Amino acid sequence: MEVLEFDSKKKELCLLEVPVPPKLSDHDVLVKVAYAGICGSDLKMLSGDIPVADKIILGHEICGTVAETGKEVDSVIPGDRVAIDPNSGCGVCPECADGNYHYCECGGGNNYVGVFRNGGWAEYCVVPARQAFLIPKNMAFELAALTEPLSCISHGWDKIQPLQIGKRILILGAGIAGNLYACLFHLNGHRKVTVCEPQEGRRKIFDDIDTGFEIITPNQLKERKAKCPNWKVDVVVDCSGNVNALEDAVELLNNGGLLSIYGLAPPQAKFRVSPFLLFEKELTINSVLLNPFCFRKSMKYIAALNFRYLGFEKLGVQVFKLKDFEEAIRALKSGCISKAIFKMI
Amino acid sequence: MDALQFDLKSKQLSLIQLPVPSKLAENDVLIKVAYAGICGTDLHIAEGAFPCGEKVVLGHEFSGVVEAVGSKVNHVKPGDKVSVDPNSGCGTCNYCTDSNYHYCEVGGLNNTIGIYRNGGWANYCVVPNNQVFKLPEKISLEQAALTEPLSCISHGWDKIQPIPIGKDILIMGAGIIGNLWACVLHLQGHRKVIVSEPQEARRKLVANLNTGYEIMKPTDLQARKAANPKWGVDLIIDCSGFGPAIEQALDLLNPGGQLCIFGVASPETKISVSPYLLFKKELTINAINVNPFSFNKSLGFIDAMGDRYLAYEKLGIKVFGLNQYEAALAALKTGTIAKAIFKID
Ligand SMILES: [Zn+2]
Ligand SMILES: [Zn+2]
Ligand SMILES: [Zn+2]
Repeated sequence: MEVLEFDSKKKELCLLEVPVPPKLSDHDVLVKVAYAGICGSDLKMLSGDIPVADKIILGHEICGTVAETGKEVDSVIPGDRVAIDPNSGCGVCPECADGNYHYCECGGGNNYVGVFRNGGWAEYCVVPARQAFLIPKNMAFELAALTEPLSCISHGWDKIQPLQIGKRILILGAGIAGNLYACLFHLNGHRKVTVCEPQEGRRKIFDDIDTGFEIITPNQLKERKAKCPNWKVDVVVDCSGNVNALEDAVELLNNGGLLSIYGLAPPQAKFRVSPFLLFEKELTINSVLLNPFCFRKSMKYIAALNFRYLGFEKLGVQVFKLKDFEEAIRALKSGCISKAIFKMI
Repeated sequence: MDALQFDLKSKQLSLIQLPVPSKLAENDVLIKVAYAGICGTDLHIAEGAFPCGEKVVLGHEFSGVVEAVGSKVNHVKPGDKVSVDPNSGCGTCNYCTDSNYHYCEVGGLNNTIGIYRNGGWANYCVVPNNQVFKLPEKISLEQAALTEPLSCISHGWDKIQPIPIGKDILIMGAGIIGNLWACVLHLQGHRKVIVSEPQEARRKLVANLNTGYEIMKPTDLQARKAANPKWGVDLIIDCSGFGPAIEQALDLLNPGGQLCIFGVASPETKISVSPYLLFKKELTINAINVNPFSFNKSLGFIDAMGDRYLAYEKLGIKVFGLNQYEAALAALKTGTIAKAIFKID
């Protein structure tokens, strides 16, 4: 089968022919991959900013068809369409026992499909059966490819609740994460949302989603801050990972405001914040890691959002063949698309 | 009557004679003050580092006995022992109607008794009826002087929930606030608590509380972390307001951990925060501002805690006469006592 293998020592991604995994253990399933996304974190793995296994097939946003199941698997059968949750926990450590399997050091991040075990940038992929979620019959296959990214947003969504309609929201960054957040805000009835994005290409894509939310540049945001000191927001969702943007955003928060950090900043980057300001305005800063217990929720969001929000053209998602990986990565980095997804069928 | 008045222009605190307020509005209560605390905020005010009224009798933590009531007051009567909540809101702005009256720009901090209106460092004080709380039978006037500081802790307590028993907790700073936090945690069954405090005198005061909590110097904390990088805590309550300590605290948190900013830092202090660290460990930073809807809860705490926790001697609280205010402020600044409270006859 055709695979994209990443050599993390050489920082090289190569298209290879390898045999289809021959033997399944009892609780695993073999999935014939249909779609596998390229995530922002994949780009950081390719550049060496996030550690991965030595030689690994990346791809952690996967959907496909079950080709074969291990002896003990009864949750799915060959032919079933499934979306794959790349994350799991060991199930027995204190973190897992507390319901925080995304902090698990045995499973969790260290057992991550497409990061520490072979993932979906391939024709076939082996995953534990309990990480394969049946796709509802009436859901378009391509939309199911968004289950993983939307499951992380869904976890972030839970962490900004309760959030009453009418609160003013600022999203920093209109990449795929910012766009999906915007979709959820709109679906849930929020209308006072501002999105801030420096790249023109991304601002255009955002307009296509047709939420009516205003989209402005970081400079426009700065001007507004200077001109209307009373313009404040109740929640800032950061999808930029940009520390300068974070510093500005904290100052835009209303009393009782919340800054929720979703975007991945470089490990060395720091932002400066005044504890007195945090106290005076009683602010909260939280952050969002992975997608614990959010896969099912994400599928339900996809069913509700559907093509109105998630049509690939609308969202700026472009589909590529595996062999065109270089072009896909280039397009993603340039900002002329919001997401690239490999299509294997 | 005697009153300690602060003059904002000359930054002078002086003991003066004022007439006992004679005319009461229909909703007002005249209180004969019994005990009135000196709070960290009062020290900032006396140094001119915190905004307040032009000429104001300070004192926002006090208990007393009702002397007279306005014509429409019916929930207390002369002779009742009471405690006074210094904070209120306008009742009509967006913040107030959202239940966040502590953010109110008309009321809130800008109308606080003992900061903007005459407070309890005097023989008598007039307060609106809805800020007067009748003491339960068991609570003494002495204990009730702690209602206000404990009400702020109670608000903080609500904001950091849920904290299951067995989580590792670190309190930074063992002034009166750190000590009261330790009492509240101990009362509610928490046993895995460390208190960190640089001053030896204060470390002795914590030991006095007999909670069995581990007491350390901040340098010991860093050494423990260095010796065992896996060691960490789940919740840090900062009562120090000291920038470098707050900054280092983030490194001590376990995944899913929470930093609660309770101590008031100087407005100029800034800390550097790594968003990547927040993300990787999914940390939350929470700040706490005053005591909305927390006065009854605080009386509940006092009722349950009693002298086991709240005896002045145990807490390192020293009582002074109003005319000893200079000695009281000096003792407080040196750290030989945890708190000074005026006893007013
Ligand atoms: Zn991802
Ligand atoms: Zn585990
Ligand atoms: Zn108000």
